[in-house]
Amino acid sequence: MPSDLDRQIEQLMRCEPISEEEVKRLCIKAREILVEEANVQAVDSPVTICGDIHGQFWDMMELFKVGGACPDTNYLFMGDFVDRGFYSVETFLLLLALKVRYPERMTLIRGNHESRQITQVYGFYDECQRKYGSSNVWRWCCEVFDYLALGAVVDGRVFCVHGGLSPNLQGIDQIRAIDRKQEVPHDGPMCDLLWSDPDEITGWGLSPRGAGFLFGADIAKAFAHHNAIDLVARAHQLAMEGFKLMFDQTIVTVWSAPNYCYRCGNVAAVLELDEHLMQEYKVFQHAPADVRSIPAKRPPADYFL
Amino acid sequence: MTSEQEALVSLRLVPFRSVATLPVPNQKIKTEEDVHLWRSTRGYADYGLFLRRLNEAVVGRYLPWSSPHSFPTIQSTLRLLDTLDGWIDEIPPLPTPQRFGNLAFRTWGKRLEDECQSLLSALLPSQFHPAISHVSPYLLTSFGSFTRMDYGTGHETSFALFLLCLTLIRFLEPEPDLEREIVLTVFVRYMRLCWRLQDVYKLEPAGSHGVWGLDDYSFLGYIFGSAQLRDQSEIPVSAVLQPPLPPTNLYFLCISRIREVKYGPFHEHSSQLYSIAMGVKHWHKVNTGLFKMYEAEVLGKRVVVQHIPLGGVLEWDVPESRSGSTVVTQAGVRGL
Repeated sequence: MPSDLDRQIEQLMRCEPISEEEVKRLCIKAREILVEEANVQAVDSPVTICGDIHGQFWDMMELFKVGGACPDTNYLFMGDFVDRGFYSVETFLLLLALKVRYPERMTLIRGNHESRQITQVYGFYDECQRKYGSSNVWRWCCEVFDYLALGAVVDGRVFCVHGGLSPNLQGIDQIRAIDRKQEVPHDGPMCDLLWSDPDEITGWGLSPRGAGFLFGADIAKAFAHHNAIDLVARAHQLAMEGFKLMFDQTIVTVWSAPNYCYRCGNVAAVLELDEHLMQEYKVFQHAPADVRSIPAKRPPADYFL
Repeated sequence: MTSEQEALVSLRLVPFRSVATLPVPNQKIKTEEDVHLWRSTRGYADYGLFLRRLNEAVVGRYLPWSSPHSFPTIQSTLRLLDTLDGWIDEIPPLPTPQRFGNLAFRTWGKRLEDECQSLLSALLPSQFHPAISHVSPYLLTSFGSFTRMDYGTGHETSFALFLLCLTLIRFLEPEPDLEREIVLTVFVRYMRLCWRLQDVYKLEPAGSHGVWGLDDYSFLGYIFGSAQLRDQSEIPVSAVLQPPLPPTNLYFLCISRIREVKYGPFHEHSSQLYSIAMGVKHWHKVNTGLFKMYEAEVLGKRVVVQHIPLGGVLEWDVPESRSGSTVVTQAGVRGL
């Protein structure tokens, strides 16, 4: 007989939200698992690394078609599960349910959108209100966000992080000293890991995003050398071809939200690392229109009553 | 003249002779409390009245609009927007297709900053020139953030405030015939210019609520469009779900624009507009609802309005003891 969790996973796979009570229990269970994880989670190959999803549920189903089902494939998602898209609730809860069901096979790290402040501006808060009629689900999910790891290292050789590097962090070991169980701060090393971007500059530069920094090839190469890693894998920026290698293959941007925001016309990709850490990029398109759910009848906002 | 229009009082006059004595506008809103204070200022009340007057002026008037009158001030405002549009041809996007936000937009913005003074000198007759430093901050923030390379409802509001300032000093007259031109020619021209900026320089939506906001970039076009359609019942609200839409009003123009740039089910990428189309019976309700929503979701949101210059012509009449007492929080973090 399938457990409650298996039934919830099945339900979420059909893009049907689970009940508020079930969300509450799932979030508590997830926190119990995540609190035991390190700031930088050690992950073994083979593993498939994914970038931003942003609530594009049906496109994530395309991702699983290309990358293989969980738990047959090990996954590492580099954050930005929520905001902007229509199905942030279903997307995040499915990933979270898979994490609880297969904790060793699913790694979730935090993106800059896994934050109270950002989700109130970019849609996840509104979505929880619309779909559940209260902000409880948003609040519980935000409590889980605070426990997500800040990065991961695959076989000690591939460093994975949502945004990028920080001028306050030379060694991966220094990340372990951060007290991560909090809202994403406005500055400092934890903020930088989630907000920074590589750029064609030398050294460090100011980020136009208003948080984090820009960093050049010299910085990325010094970081890789100092920490004896081959590659930095990160997400955070749209890549029209789904991925973008920079700085003599020292860093790669992986982007997993095809036709981002319904308008960008980009393809998406995942990075498969085999047991020898050989890289294979698998590119995929957005889901065809006919696989989507039918429009739910939701009354217009209160302004129109 | 509609009965609603008769009920609207006129906009006050800020004599251009007194403008020079007023403080130059700057960013006043730093905290939630400041947003609250702003909503009690005379500048805020003027803006509300201005929007309602524009709204009333276009009820039952459709596009394409052929002006029965020729207003030289409207013509010169349109020429200014044409000039800005021409710069897009002269400043092509850089070949960096990976970026969301093309760096050439900063060059376009630099040119606006460099030439703003001379553009306004050309627009305004000399007796208004003391007002240039008072209205230029609004024009400069009307087309997006040149740092973050994004555009949103805050920038659109800046442009409307620019037009309000021009009206308060009486470069533009607050009369229905001219207010109609402001919406049906100037604002439409502005909207098309902004669309082009978004397309050419791939501007990111500034702080949009994703699929849960009304529109990624703009709001006022929906207000004015619903005003145009307000007093008729032949075209139902649900008509927006049956494209193609005739370009007869700003509401349809905005929705057609979405369908042009977005691929996917309308009920997903434009869930608010879909709910309005399905659940609101009359355009009148759409119009009043959008006003409420604009006040709450745009003018009432610190992250949107904190970049808007205030004070001076747009009077910031806040008791000094209540202003600037709170701690500055971080401004405008955003990202993919």
